[in-house]
Amino acid sequence: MVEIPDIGRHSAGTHGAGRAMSMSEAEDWFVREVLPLETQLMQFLRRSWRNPADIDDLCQDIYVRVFEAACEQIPHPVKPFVFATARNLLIDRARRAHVVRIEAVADPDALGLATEEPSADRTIIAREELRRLQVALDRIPQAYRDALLMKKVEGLSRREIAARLGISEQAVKYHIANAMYALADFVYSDRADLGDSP
Amino acid sequence: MSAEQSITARVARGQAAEWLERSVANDWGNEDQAALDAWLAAAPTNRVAYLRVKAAWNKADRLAALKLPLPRKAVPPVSAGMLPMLLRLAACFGLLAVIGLAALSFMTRSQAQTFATAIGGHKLIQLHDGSTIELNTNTSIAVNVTAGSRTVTIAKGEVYFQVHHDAARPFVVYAEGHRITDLGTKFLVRTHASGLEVALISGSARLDTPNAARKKSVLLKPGEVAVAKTGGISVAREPLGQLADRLAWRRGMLVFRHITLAEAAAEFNRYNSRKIVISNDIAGLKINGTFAKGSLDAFSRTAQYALGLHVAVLDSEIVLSR
Repeated sequence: MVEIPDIGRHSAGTHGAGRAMSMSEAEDWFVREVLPLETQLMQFLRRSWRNPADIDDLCQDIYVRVFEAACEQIPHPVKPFVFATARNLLIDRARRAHVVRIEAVADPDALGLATEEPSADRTIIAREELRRLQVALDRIPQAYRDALLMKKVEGLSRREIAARLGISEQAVKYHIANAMYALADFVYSDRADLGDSP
Repeated sequence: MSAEQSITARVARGQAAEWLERSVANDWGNEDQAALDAWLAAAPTNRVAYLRVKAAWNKADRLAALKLPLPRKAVPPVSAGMLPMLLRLAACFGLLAVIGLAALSFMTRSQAQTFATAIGGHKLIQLHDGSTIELNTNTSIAVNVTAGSRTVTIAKGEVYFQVHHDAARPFVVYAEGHRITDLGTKFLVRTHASGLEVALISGSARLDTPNAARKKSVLLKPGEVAVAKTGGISVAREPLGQLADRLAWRRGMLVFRHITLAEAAAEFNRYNSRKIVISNDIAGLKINGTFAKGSLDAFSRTAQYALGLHVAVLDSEIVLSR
């Protein structure tokens, strides 16, 4: 339907520390190893930072730092690196903002977040993802959801979706973009803020 | 290390979603790709936001193959037209069990279900096993799924199959006296007046034409297009790009590459009740182009301006001449 590189696979072999990464390798790695940590990362940020309005920006800034580091060399193991990055960023911000719950920032391990745990059975992960998708769809407003399914499942064009839903092509565009935005939040953070979206 | 972002997450992610929407829309070209690349390169937060929204979108591919957890004994085709939407939504709302039972009680006497599209129609049928059957314009098929077999009979038209392979339950397509057996595959089948055309997109499939005088069976590989006639099977290879053009109807488009005006008109006429008629002296003109399948206007305008033809629009037909 849409030509997007396969990102579900595991890279061949182990990724040893210090191996130089190409941009696309870093992208694959980021999608495969880092994004799945988002739920836990957001939990950590919510516990550690007073102002909930900053959380998305903090998460995004952590991603940028992690991704840029990966373009240089791949961090290994992944999870402690991500949470150490989170911690450092919070400390930087706390110095500027003078507000932070220092105990959480100081010790992500105390939350049981920063250690590598044995990875769950792949089928359980797959089932969990499917469940999240279903829940996500359940919560996305109907108009967005209809447009999304028509695009994703039936591969219809903007024009065809517009005709079916009786809305303008411009509206279809926004419906789908909004649905994509919400979908990403649900899939990775188990929540979405639809608000006055993009 | 990295400069702190002045672009908020919301802005980056919102723009990323808009870019992704554009990239999956039908009119995505090289300039669009260049603009996207520039946007991605402009700030790392853009790239990260785009990776994230794209990865979530990719995961949602599973929606397209959502397997409903029915018992395996009777596995009916789910639906056609608007019904798949309802079922998928039902799945989202956790109504699976209820629908599953209802379907099961209906299907205790397993029988073929027929599906058809009118001229210009397009329909997606989803089977419980994750396979999909996609009907192009003016097509009619019968689907029969039982515990031990999956068969589809094409009465007329064009059908795209994406088969979830199951050695224990072969997937077999019958059309015009020929038989196609799935061996884990995506393939396109089109009935012509002169014979049956099978294009293999991925995987492999076997085409049998039991009544043929010679060349009764062939194992198809990706990129191969077989034409089965009463005389036997002939196989040609096509570049994958060209094969993708054959599937453009799934996006509501028709792609013509260096074919005659007469062939293009015949193709258009499959999708529209108002027919394009071409005078003989111009039938051999070669054209290229991509058109929405219903846009007779765009086609005749192109003919008018690009080829300098005269266009007469009548009630039931559009006549192109010099």
